[in-house]
Amino acid sequence: MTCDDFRRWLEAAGARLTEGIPDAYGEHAGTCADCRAILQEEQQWLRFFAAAPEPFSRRPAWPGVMARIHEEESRRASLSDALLLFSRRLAPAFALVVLFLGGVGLWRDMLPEAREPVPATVAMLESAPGQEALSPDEPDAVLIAWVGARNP
Amino acid sequence: MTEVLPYPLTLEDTERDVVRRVREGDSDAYRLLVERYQARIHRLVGRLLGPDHGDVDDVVQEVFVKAFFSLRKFREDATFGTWITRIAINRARDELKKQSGKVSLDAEPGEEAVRELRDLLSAEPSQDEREDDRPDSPVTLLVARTVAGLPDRLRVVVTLKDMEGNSYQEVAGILNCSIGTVKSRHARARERLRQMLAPHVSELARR
Repeated sequence: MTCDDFRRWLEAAGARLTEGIPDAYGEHAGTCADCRAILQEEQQWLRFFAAAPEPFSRRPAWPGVMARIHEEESRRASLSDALLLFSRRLAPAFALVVLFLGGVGLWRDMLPEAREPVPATVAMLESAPGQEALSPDEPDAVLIAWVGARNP
Repeated sequence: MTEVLPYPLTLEDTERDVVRRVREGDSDAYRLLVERYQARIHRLVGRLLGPDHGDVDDVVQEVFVKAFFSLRKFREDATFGTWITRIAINRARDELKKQSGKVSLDAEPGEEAVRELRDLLSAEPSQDEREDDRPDSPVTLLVARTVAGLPDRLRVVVTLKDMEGNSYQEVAGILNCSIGTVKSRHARARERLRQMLAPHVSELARR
């Protein structure tokens, strides 16, 4: 038995150490001071933790758990009822409003005045500085500006 | 929800069967799981929260309610016991965050507690002495308060390994981390405990 074997066993033994030490390991601890010290330390820790209280409940958990489950289920059911109400009543109403607004928008696009060209403004016909401005009332303004004469 | 399936549950049903039946809507089947695990979860939560927390029953109930509504997410890659232990640890951690700063763990232990602890560490107590340990005896409270003084992550490892008797591998499985991480936290936890106890007892001083 090597010290490594002993320490591996000790690590795996954990709380089972209280049940006793197998002879081979006991013999090794008897001859190796280092391993004996580690064993004693481990036994002290076991005694230390064994002194910790062991919390327990005198009341069964199930009645309280069941009550809370039912409570949570009712809460979830009322939430899903609210969602259902929304999906059944408010959602169609919301969809109608969206459809109405969309329809109004389309209708406005289709009005004749909506399709008329926007009349040219003075600003659109303004020339660059130094150039003659084109009159919006003169249909041949561009030709006159280029050739200097009216269309015959 | 309380619809009972046509065949009765027996103690021979495997845990997987019981979980399946709860998922199918048989909430009465859940009673079996609660009764099977309540002592273990209560002990674990009680140890994690420390001796000065009064609402362990309440937290335990919350753990089981949370598990019930999360059962669909339970992938069965671990046992139900491991899974609900994780839920309990997370719930206890949340509770510890809430109470942090409210509970003083620095109170000096009484002379009687220190003397009892020295006796306990210096020799193997007889069975009679162990039976005399009460949940509120001075040494019991001293041990519980010392462990409660550890940071959460270290306390969880010590509780699972040294108090609940799990192996390193089992603790790593519960905490979903490597065995190396568990060993390192365990060593740090013991070192912290040594430091905390050093003013009162020399028996646990590193040799």
